[in-house]
Amino acid sequence: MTRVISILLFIVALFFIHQGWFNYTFWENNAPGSGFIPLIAGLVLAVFTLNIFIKNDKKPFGFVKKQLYPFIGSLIMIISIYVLGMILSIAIFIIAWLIIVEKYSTLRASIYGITTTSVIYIIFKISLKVPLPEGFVGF
Amino acid sequence: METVQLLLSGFAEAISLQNMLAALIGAILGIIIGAIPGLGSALGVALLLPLTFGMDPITGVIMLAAVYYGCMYGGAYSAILINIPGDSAAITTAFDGYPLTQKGKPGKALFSANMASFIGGTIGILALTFIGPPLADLGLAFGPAEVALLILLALCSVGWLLGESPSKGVAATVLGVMFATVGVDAMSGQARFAFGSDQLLSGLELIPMIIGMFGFSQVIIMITQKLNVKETKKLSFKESLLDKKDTKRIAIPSIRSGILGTFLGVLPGAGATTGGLLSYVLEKRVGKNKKEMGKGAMEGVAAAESGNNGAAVGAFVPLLSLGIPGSATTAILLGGLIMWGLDPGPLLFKSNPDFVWGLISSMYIGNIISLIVGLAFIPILMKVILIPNSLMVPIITVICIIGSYSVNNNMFDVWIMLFGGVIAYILQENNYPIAPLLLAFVLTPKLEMSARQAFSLSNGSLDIFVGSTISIIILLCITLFIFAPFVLKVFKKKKKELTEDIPA
Repeated sequence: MTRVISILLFIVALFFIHQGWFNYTFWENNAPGSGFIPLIAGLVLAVFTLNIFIKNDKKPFGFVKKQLYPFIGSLIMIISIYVLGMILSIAIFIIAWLIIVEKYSTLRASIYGITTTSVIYIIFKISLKVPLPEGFVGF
Repeated sequence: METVQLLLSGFAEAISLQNMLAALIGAILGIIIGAIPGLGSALGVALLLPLTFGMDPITGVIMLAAVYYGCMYGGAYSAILINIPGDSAAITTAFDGYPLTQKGKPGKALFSANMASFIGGTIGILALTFIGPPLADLGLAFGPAEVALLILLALCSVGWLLGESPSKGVAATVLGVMFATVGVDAMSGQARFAFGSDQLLSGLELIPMIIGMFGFSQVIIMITQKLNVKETKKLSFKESLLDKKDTKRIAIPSIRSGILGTFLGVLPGAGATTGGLLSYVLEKRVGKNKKEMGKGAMEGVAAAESGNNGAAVGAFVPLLSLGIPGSATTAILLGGLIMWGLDPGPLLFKSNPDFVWGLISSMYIGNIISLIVGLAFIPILMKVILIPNSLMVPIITVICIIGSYSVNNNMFDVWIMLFGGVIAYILQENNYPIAPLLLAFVLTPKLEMSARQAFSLSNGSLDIFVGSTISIIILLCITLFIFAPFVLKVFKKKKKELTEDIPA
């Protein structure tokens, strides 16, 4: 996995070098231009990722399938915010998470979900007046 | 002597039931706002500023000073308890604060943070009281070249935090620099790495990146960890109090960092994040317990908190003496002062002495009240660690999402948080440290701007970077930071060889 990451970072470095030199200005009006930092950063990253690639530290990638759950859960929640609004999505996310992933009873999950959502509503919506996305239900 | 008399008259003006109540409410609100990831002191002061316009100016400014202080205290709490810094200034607090919580010592970490914040803040206020104007003049001696070199020094010092693999540490730091270049270049107006997206034109927002890289990546790791309740069942408030040994451990780091932080706060644009970082690095370099730092050392929490609080107060020096705000929060306060009909600058001390000394004395009061409120919060905050991971994971996920949204009330920031979290998780799992990446991300825009201003001033000549004593001193420090580890390594190797050669 370390080698895959170093190859990906090396590609990023080459992209920054290319953009810094060809698409942005490296030096203009006696001062560094907008391409100066990207180019230098790209060069440094390229050198160090090559070094990492050659050394090949074989640390096992400690990934387990369960670690995908927060990512997938958040992804679904973020998309649902556009449709259902922030507050409803938060409540559904917490309740669904506790029932599906953590195997809580529906009652217990609902109590935790509704309590947490209410606290968030009071802090952000009522006290701080943050304009939360409302979705089609208006909540 | 005259200063002491003026300060006492300021206290006479500031101490009243109404003002004490304003300070108490301000401190409580500040701590709560500071502890919520995504809000931070600038937003806290901005939100409460309109409320103070109906008040007497001194009461209003006391309340805002308490809010500011409270936010600085509160920012550390979420960093310590759930590894999500309330704002960028608390990034370094998480380095040792969260490991202490994982060791079952959240109370000690919170106590250390509170005490160190108090010490750092007090050093800052003492400096403001007695040497404010000369300090402000020194701050003015820092032009773009000196500021660029100072930020470069801070970036080079990140080298001390690189972790097990220096190459991966440098790669992570450079990645932070790269992330910072996304968006419209402030000097030329050219869009960089925006890929045709309007949202990316304003760059990657800092707070969502912090929340994602510290908080969301932590959620991904936490999901496989079982609950720590068994180890923390005996957690008591009494055991969390600092004993004589603990107090001794944090006293010197707090004083040292408070002085450094205050000085850095005076400099234009250096800010509390740089204050916290350089204080932490100094402690890691000269501290007695430097080997433990990063693994849960109270000295690390103390250095970071004292440094960032010292810097937060230091930012008031140029604000009051010169009318130049040293940070985003003091810029908002400047707006408040102007709306109250005051004219911050060299004449403020002469034209409105009652107000200035009232403000300075209110900072002493705000600092003490924030400490008391902060300590009173500890027993409640300690309960956070008793919440099982099964419940913490969805709650922290929700905090990450709503916290990053509320920075600009923009859903795009939520996507940035998610992106930052996933990148940080993958990098961490492959031994790339995240702290240098984030610190480079915070510091690069200021470095780029100052360096380009310096080159423009000198018509492209490098001479400006060796044109003053300050520049030369900073350059020497940079050289030391870069080469000292190699020299020390060679020196230690030689010493070892010599010792082995000597027959027993």
